[in-house]
Amino acid sequence: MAKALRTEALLDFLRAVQQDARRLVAPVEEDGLRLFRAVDRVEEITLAEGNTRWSFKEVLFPRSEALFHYRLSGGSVALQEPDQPEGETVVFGARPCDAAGLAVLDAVFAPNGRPDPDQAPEHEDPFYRRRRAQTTIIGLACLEPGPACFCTAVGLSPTGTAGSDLLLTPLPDQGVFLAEAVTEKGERLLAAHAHLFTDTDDTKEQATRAAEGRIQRTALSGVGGPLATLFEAPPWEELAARCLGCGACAFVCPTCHCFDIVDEGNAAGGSRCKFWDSCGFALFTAHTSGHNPRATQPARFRQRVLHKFRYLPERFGVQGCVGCGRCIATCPVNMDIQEVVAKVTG
Amino acid sequence: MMSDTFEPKIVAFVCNWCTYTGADLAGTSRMQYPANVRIIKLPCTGRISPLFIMKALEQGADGVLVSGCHPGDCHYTAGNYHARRKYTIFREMLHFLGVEPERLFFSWVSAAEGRKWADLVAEVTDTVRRLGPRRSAWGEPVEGIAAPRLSANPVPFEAPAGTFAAQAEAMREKAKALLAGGEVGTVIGYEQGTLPGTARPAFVSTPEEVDRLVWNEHCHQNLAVYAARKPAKPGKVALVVKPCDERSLVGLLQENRLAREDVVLIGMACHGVQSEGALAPRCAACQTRTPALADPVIGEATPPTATADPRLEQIARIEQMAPAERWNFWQGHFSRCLKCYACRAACSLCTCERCLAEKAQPRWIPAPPDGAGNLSWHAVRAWHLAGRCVDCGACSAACPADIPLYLLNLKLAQVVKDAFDYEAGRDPAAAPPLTTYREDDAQEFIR
Amino acid sequence: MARVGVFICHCGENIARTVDCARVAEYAATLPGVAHAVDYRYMCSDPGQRLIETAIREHGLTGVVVASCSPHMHEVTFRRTVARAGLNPFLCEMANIREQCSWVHEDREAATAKACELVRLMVEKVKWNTALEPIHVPVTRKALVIGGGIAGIQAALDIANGGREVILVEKGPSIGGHMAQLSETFPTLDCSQCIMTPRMVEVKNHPNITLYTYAEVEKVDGYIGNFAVTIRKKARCVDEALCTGCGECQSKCPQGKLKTSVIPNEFDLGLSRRPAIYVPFPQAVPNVPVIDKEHCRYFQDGKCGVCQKVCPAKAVDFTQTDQVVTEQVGAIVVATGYDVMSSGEYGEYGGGRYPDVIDGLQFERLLSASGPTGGEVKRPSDGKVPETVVFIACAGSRDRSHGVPYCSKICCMYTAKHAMLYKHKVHHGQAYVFYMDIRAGGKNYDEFVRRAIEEEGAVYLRGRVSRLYQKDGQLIVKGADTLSGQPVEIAADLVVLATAIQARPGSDALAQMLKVPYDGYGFLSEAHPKLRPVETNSAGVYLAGACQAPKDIPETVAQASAAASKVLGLFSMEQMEREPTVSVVNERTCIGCFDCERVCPFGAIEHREIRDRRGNLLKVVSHVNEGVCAGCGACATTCRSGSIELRGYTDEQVFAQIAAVGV
Repeated sequence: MAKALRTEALLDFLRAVQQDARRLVAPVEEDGLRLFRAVDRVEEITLAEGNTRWSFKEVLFPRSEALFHYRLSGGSVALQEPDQPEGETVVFGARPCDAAGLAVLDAVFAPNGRPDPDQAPEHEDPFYRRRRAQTTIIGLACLEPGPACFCTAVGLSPTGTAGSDLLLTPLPDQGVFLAEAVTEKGERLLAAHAHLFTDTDDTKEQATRAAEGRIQRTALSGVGGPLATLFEAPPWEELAARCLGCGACAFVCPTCHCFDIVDEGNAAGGSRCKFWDSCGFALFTAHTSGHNPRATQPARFRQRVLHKFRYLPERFGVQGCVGCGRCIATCPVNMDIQEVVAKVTG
Repeated sequence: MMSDTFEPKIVAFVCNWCTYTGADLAGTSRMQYPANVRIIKLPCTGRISPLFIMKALEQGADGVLVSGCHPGDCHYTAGNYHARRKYTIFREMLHFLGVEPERLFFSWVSAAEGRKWADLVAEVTDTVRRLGPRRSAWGEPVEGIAAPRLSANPVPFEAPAGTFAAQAEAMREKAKALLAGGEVGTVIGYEQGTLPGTARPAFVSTPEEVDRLVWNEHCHQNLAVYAARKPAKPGKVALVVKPCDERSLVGLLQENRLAREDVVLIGMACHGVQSEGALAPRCAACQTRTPALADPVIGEATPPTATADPRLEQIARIEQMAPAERWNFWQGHFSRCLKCYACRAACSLCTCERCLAEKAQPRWIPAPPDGAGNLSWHAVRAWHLAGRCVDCGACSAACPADIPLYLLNLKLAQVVKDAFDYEAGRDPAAAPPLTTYREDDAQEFIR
Repeated sequence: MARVGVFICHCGENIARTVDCARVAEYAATLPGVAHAVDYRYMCSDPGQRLIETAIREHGLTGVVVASCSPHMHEVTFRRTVARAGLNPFLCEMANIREQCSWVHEDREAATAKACELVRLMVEKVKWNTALEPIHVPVTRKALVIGGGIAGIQAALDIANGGREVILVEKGPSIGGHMAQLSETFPTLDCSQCIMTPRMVEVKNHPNITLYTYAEVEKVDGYIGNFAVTIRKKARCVDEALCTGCGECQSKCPQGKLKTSVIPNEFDLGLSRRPAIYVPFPQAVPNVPVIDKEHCRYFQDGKCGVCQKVCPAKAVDFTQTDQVVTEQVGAIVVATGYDVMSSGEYGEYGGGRYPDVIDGLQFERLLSASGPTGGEVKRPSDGKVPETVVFIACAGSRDRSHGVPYCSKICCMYTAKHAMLYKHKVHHGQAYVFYMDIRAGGKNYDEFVRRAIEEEGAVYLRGRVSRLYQKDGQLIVKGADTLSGQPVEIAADLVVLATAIQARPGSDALAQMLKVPYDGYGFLSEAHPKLRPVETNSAGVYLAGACQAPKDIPETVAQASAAASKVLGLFSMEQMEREPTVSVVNERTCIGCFDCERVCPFGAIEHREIRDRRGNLLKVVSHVNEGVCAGCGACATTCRSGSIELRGYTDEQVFAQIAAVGV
């Protein structure tokens, strides 16, 4: 049976959660935009509809982190482990699209799911794995998807549970959040704060239908299929003529996961840093020789589209795009991935 | 080092011929001064890039001193004149970013002025020692001081009825004629975006496609960003330009990025553009309403609605903040920067094939999007646009993190105007202000 | 991996007294990349240098840091040391722990700590140094000398006698300069023209010298060894090839009837008049007249033409126009000389108001046998022989209120000479000299001044003239003798002001054209005041004479010969070597905005086309002409994309030092 949380009890719940975890990350308003930040007081949290400017992926995959530090002395080098990750973290307010995007990050950085952090295969990202294990996701269903949203076009739903440990769906008419435990972590969370939740017969069906009905964008049929043959075929030159070559689309995307590694330091020492990178940048594939296999912006844009809609499904069996619409809304020149995919596959 | 008192580390960049020799003279004359200064010798102040000052601050210097030959004495005739212009702007920029001005020193010390050098080092050391250690590392907020927030009052957008539609029609006529006559191969204009109330750049190459083109208050992007790029289709390019966009073309002409005859300009008399449902602040008091270079100018401009640029008030408020508040104001904004470089990509004057941000050997700007990396990036970006930015608003509009980049750009444009009486994007034949000098340029900040 | 050697010099006690050198060496050994560190008493001594050479070989060093005195002192020394051991000399850097450390700090702890840091900075820098090879530039072995006074004549003759071709360009109609105007010269009192004219003739007849008079240098392109010089030969309106110098034209010129002429004779500084077609002075070289179009009736109202009619050689040609010639030269000697401040600028002493207040150069003409008075001293106003003459030294010089804080150097000597020559001509006359100090350094100079005072009876009064006015046909000079403390009043017939020596008007424009620095007074700057006194910072351009600073004749001639020897040294090679610390452009990332070209003071930036294999133009980028680049680095600072590096001072090298400060 489903559980319900009274609307006015939400902050009590979050306050209790915050006391248990080391860190609560949730959407807040800052300088006129909505962002996920670690919050001190739960009153700072905004529950406004719509998406944050970018997803919460940096909780698990920070935009910049040190892999190790080094000190040089004479001829010797001393290595030092970076600080441990942030510890137990709860993310509140993850939209179902963002939460669903975790499947991509998991597939790339922790392909074996979430095993014992110390027993993972070599090629897993230990930083990601450790953070993932320590993070609980409380999803918050969308009632009012925006004009850029198209999760339903890629087979997801504004009230979908994928990726969340616990999903809250607001049912304003009933004055409650419908709470669904999706994973064991979610179950534990419910159990730990059982006094705040009541049993209910309410369902989210109506909310789901209403929310899905708001999404105007057409379904992308046969995703993964037709694109397989379209490397050369569609008029990428025309589709991407206006693309400026920035990395905004990748950095706001919940599933983009490319990174670069550099050493930052001086003669005495420094850090090896890993930080976000984007296939939209000309330098992304530039070789030392000067050769660049993706020499033009259309070629780079094509990579972005095909990576999401063909390569990720083919190689990892995951959906590369979750339809959050952020890249569409963020792009300075309105490069619209949904429009492009619809055009080239339709 | 010597005692418990704070011993600052001060980096001095000096020219080889005057100040270094002057410092040698102080030595041969056995003049005593504090041991806190580390000299880095370069041939000329012309070689002492302002970015070295930034690098020294980034690396933790408590104070920075730059010194070279007196005006007229440059071993290379004019290096110090060029340097003086650069420092004038860069120094103002650092102040605006909240760097304590008291930590930066500029001087002329000749080969004969050993005494002056010794006194200068003593004074600089004493000043920095009294200031104490830096309040925070480069790119990190000062603890215990809240980042002030700025708000702006939106100005409602009003355009005379029918003006856009009539202009759009005339623009399409012109575009069709250019394509049909073979005069151009591509027209770059605007089309309806996929989100409500948006427009986006559109490339059309046949008269039939021209009907897609629109002209309205949402056409905020600066299409000059495509001017220096090689078009996919053969033939010349025609650009639909607003007066401010056109000014960036002046910059491109000055910098040899293209020749005037390479491009046809369809100039649109301007009524301002919209930003977040209101008039874009930069349009409120904009006086440049009619294109000056364009081949046809379409329509009649509407006069500005405000007498004062509302952004100047924001700048004034930032300047009224204490340096630490100002610093935190910017760190607060920069902390959101993802280093997506949309600001750079949208800038029609950022035409380098390899941006300095991507130069790895050496690395001028820490690559990661962290405190130091973001601050250095934004400082370099603004610095590289000083005397060049035409205030088209493209960078701020492109920023996914809503960093008010325009404030930095506008501030530097003011400095350039005040110091060198120069406005970017006006005269294709003018020498850019940082590539020329006057012997009597102001130098009250140089001791 | 770098293997840097660090060598700490004690400089006897100079460094070791305040810096614990052993500790610095110990510290240096702990720095990353340092393979060897040692301290030694005198690193610049033979054994010290051998220590470095041996260490380079034994430890396979890839870079060397010598921590000792200023690089201005011994950089060349240690670079040679390093080169002897087979290492590229540019892999050696110096940490200045003497002038900028041990000599300026007393606290041994602080000085030692700072020395450690200075060493660290240079260790970090030298890791980024790269081997640099000298740049070779071809040399055109022909010189341009600008200015035909004694400096230019001496330089031209020395170069020509050294077997190289010279182009001598003189602005006026004749060579000779100020020296040709002088009467006799100190301290030997030999006749100036007598020693000057043979040299002028020698110039004219020398097979290696091409003489352009009445000509000006208009443009200088190129760089050391390879200058292209544009020279404008102004229209003389007299064909030099046809003219025999008979003088018929100037004697018949209606403007030249001596009594009626209104044209001041420049050679006599306005003390006489001349015709409109004229030879400036009888011994002029070339002895070819020139038409002063401003005063020539033919050119003013189309009437006259007498000179053309009377010329037996048919040499007068009113239709002549300016000719512009371009010459290729490898070196340039600037010998444009000086001007004297006009006495008119000294209004408080009546200059410009009282005809009998004249300047020193005018007095030279009054003394000269070829002068307006035939060598008799007669005052300008009424031709009377002055019986009392007052000479005022430092009239303008050493006087900030007249914008001349410097000493004009030659006035003390020529004033003594004037007093002496006056006495020789007017035996019963009395000379008074007001002076501030007597500066008579030089061979037989002080003896000369003593002679003027002791043997020739000139009265020297130490003090300034406070007032000068006319009364009853005499000039009343009031002042004070500060030695006796008495006020002095002298009724003089003639007053001679030793006015300041000034740079030629337009010397700043010339300096800009030649890219030579100049001081606030317009005097051109030498490359180093002591060690490179005739070179400039514009390679291949040398200075001779008073264009650099006030000088007397012996000094001028010495400097001219020095400049000539520099030129001949340069011309001894078909190719020359230059310091390789020049800028280099990364053509791959350069976008060709040419902001570098705008800031380059030397015109070293060229445009280079980048084409693909089929010859299609891809882009136009900057290219540094290594022969022209002086290595200032302004281009590197201006380049936004960081596509220009200054070798020896690369961004890597500077960053390494900055980072080392923060460590």
